[in-house]
Amino acid sequence: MIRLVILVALTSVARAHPAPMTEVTITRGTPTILAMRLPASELAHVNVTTSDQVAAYLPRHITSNWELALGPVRSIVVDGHPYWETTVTVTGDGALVLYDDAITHEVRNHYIVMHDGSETRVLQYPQRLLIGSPRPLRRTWVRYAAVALGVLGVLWLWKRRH
Amino acid sequence: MLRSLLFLGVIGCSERAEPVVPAAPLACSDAGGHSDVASVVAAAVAFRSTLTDEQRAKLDLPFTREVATMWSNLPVGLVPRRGVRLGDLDGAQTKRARALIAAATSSCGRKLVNELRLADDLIAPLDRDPQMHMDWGAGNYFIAFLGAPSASAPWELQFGGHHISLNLTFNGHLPSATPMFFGAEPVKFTTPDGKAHAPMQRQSMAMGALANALAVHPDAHLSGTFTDVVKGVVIIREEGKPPSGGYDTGYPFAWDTTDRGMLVGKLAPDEQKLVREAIESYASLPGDALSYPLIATYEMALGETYVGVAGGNDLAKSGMYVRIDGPRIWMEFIVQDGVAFPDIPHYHALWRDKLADYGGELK
Repeated sequence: MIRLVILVALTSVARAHPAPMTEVTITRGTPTILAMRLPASELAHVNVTTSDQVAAYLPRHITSNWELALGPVRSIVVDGHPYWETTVTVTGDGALVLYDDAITHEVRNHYIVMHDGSETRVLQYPQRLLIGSPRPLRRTWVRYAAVALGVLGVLWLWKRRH
Repeated sequence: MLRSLLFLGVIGCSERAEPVVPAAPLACSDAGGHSDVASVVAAAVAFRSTLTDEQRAKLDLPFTREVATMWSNLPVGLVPRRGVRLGDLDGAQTKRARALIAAATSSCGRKLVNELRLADDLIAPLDRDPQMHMDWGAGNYFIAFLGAPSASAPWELQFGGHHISLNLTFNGHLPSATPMFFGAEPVKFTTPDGKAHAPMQRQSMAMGALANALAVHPDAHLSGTFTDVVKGVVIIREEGKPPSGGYDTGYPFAWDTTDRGMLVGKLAPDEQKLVREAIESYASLPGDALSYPLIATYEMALGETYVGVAGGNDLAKSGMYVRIDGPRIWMEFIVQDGVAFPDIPHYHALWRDKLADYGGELK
């Protein structure tokens, strides 16, 4: 009977295996918005376990030369795992530099998965630069135009020689 | 049968892991394979010849970065694998598959593969989370050839499933047995035939002994907390989509140059011996044609190699972490929270080579 109880207890608590990651989605604009989702289990490593503590803790670990305003912090569950979710509004002028090490400064294998438009990047300690200055003007049509001009130039040279 | 297996497993693994006992690691016997190109190619060709066309289509993959980095330590139910599934093979095919693994690994490596598959069979009945199927089980391990097995051209033998990923590259720029991941849950267990198993005993004892020795050296203490290996697989989560990835998409890594721990050269000779034993416990898993040059390379660079520890030195306590970090070598060992048995920690280990991962063939 005791063995059966142990067995039932063991079979009921299998959990998701992969360690949860921090997810940051950046929406550029005026202002720029960061949607952040941080796994509660990993933040607990720095004794941050309530929404008030998260609200006090995050501004110390998300830094920028622009002004940051933290929105309300709420608790959610995704795939059975508890997370803290919030938004950060970023406003300012000039080049934007933005750092985040809310969990990675303590948990060395923790990843920040950052979505910035169609780009996805993964950051891990000691890397903490979410974004730097605004992207250089490298729009797709500019690249296509440059390639097209190059091809036309080669054709023109070839034609002149023949 | 199932119940008795489960009871034996629970009884076998409900004991806490033994405390750290510094001891010389067990030597691999000579009965294993040598990982030499000729015998591995012969075994690979023999295995392939037993397969159907449909199975060969799964087995034969291109040796590209995209395919090679698709290995994982996570359960197959969470992160699917490519290749031929061992559970789908008939008797003759299974025999050839075993011969291939035997040719590519030492006796220690072959024993590790076999015991990790037994462990997965043991925890398979616990795969009952309705929202997330792990698909544990000895059948859910896969063999793939990246590039055609050849005596001269680069190709890779990939073997993997939950808690093990072997990526052995032949004819590459450098001799290579990495990346190699192995983990064990439970860390020790007894099978219905009464045999006791401890798949990672040699590696855990060696790393535990090293952690024990490093405990008295403050310079060797790494800052921060570790909950898994650092240079492992990466899961991507995107808004509105299920989690994806779980593969080696972080490769090639930026290898940190700070917070590396303590130089091996500053350790006492008997402590340096523990470093060598820890290195050999990982690097002797492939056969000697691969392990000898790699061990020699790593040991020649011991003067520039760092060792670090975090989370104490108790092999029964989650968070215990040991790392060997040299000009090329990167070996990690961590005691993690349990998954199938949440109250009983389990082990993860990772061996990477900063130059020779994937034979140095992926740019």
